[in-house]
Amino acid sequence: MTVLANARIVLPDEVVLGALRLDGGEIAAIEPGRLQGDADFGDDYLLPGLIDLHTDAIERHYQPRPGVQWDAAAAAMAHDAQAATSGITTVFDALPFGTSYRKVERALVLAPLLDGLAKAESAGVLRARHFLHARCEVTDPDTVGLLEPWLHDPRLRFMSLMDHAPGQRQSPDIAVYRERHMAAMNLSDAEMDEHIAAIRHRSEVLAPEIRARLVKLAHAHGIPLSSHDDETVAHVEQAAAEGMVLSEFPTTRAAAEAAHRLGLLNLMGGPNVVRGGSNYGNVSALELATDGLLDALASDYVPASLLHAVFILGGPNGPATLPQAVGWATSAPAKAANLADRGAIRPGLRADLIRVRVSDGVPSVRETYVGGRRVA
Amino acid sequence: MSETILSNARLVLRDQVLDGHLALRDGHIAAIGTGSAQGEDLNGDYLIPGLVELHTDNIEKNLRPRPGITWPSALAAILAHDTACAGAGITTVYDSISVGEYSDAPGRREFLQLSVDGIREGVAAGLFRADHRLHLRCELPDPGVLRLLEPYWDEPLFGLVSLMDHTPGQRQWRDMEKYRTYLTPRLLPGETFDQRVADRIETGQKLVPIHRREILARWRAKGPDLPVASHDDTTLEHVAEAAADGIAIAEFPTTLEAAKALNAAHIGVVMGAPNVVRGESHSGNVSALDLADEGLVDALSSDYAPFSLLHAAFVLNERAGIALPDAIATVTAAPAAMARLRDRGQIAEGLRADLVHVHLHEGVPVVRAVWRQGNRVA
Repeated sequence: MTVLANARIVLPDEVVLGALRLDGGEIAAIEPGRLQGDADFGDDYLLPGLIDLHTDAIERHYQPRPGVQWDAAAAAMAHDAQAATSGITTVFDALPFGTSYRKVERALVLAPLLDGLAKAESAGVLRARHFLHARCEVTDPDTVGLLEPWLHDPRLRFMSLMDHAPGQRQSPDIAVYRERHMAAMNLSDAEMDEHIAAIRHRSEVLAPEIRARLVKLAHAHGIPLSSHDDETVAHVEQAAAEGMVLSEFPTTRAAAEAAHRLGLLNLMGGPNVVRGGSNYGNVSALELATDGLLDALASDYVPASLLHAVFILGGPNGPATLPQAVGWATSAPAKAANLADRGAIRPGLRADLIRVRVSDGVPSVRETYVGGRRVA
Repeated sequence: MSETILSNARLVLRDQVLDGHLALRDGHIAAIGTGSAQGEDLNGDYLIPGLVELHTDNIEKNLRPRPGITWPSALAAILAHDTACAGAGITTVYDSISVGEYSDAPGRREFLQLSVDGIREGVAAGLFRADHRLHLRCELPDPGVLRLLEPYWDEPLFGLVSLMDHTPGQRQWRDMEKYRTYLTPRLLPGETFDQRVADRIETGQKLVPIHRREILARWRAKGPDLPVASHDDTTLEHVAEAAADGIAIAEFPTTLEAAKALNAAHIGVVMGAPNVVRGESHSGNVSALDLADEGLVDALSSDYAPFSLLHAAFVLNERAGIALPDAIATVTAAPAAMARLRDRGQIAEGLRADLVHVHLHEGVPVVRAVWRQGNRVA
């Protein structure tokens, strides 16, 4: 039995000053008031460990500089350490199954990263619990073949379907797409024309069948599905008809409203909240939160942004209460991914917990517990 | 006072590996003993001193997580960097911040004040897991370098200065074809490569000696024993110049010739840990493992990858046949001595209880726990 005392405990609908008893890796009891414990939290916050449905961060550890390739298992450990120290206790590593050919080299990271994560996992050297989020590019004819061998892997617990063809979703304006990717893709004008024509063609001709097969596979294996970068009401209607549970990074308010009408959760990125807007001029997460259209958060490309976003949205100037904002990074993603054993501070749930201090509005993680054990 | 015992550990001392236990009291190492004792069981894993990092660029990556995106809160970015350091076993970190630029890409200039302010704020509020100091890396050919440095001379966190010169045709840019590849996409409309190079060389010849003299004089006035580092030493002339200036640290020498001369001149050689882990330099310079084979590597720095530091020490042990205490010293005792930190860098009674519990998995070290001054921070 471990007792974490004198903490401001963030419960699903209130914040209580008290102590938490942990037993056998689970939360045993919540006791209001001040008492002596194994650890004195000195009025710091105690939150459920964060659940991150979408992080790309492992790729940056695998390729820390352009052209520099790291050992995949070592990269997995470094990424894991960063997640745990950022307060994330359940990580869905969003790995690219298929690519839009926007970044062809991205196709090469999948196999080594899957292998590196598996090695680190089986050696018991990871601090957080890692699952896989298969981000499936529907314009790539290889996607289904890449995914199939992994469908029985117990780590695969989440899937999203993406279509990165310009002219829609993330890149409604082809001219903007062109300008944004020209230098990075190192293409001439003519090559860029060819690339755009090819990917748009694949999106029109191949994607519907690839998409249908992926949806069928996900349902057959009980894997929750998400759509990605929904722009129009039609995008969301299609997602709902396909039995998806969540809309990742909707790009317009109209799409977010449609998601709510149709019973899908809206997930937005932590960076969008912290930066006060989208990189690409899409709808702002803060605006969605203010209007009751936000349901969940993910760290996207900055692990520390998840907790920071929670304290911006649930802070004194934010549109939500702290328990509500914490829920967006804990109970909501747990629900979307069918994880019934975590996501809140409640007796019987896993003791995945974080100690947080807030200074000048910026939260810092002081301690991280996974299954009752201090890991950071 | 409260005492913590860490038991069943392989203690990596400066001259041996000892199976035993260790007592921490009041933030310091109180006692070291053989055999087991009642306390926290480290399962026979290694216990090593907390790592001392002299040169990390990692703040920049957190301040600019994607091209064109500057993070709105410098403190939040530095907190993320701090967790990456602590998670990698680094308990003392010299955050290297650029003063002046060698490219015309804007950004690094604005990062100077943002970074320093964020570090000051985090230190003052006690938010960091690791002990942070400032390493100001001064780009000597930049006409603004002295003006940019001016506000920081009296900053108590400013603990290390390094002198850099990215003028084309020498050091990092001695290969003009590489420089051409780097520069060509960055040329201004109407400007030619040759024009830019001529301009850079002219500016460098004029300003580098003046700035070098001035910065050294100001730094020495701050304290006679404060460390200075040279950067990317390539030729015997570079080494002779460093020795004449009383420089004691050489960061990332690029050739075997320079490393040998530095060693002979008793200037400590710091090589990049990514270079060791990858078995080669990412920019075609001398391989750190080759230097280590010749006994020419004194210390390592994580450069752009914090988690590479600990890994590299174990690679030195495994691939270069360096005894484990000496390999660990390249990331602890040696950098601590170079930075004149006498209260840390080794497991010895009376020193700060900065410690890392390391499990070795198939040659890859896994950080299990980190203590700074006796407090568990990761």
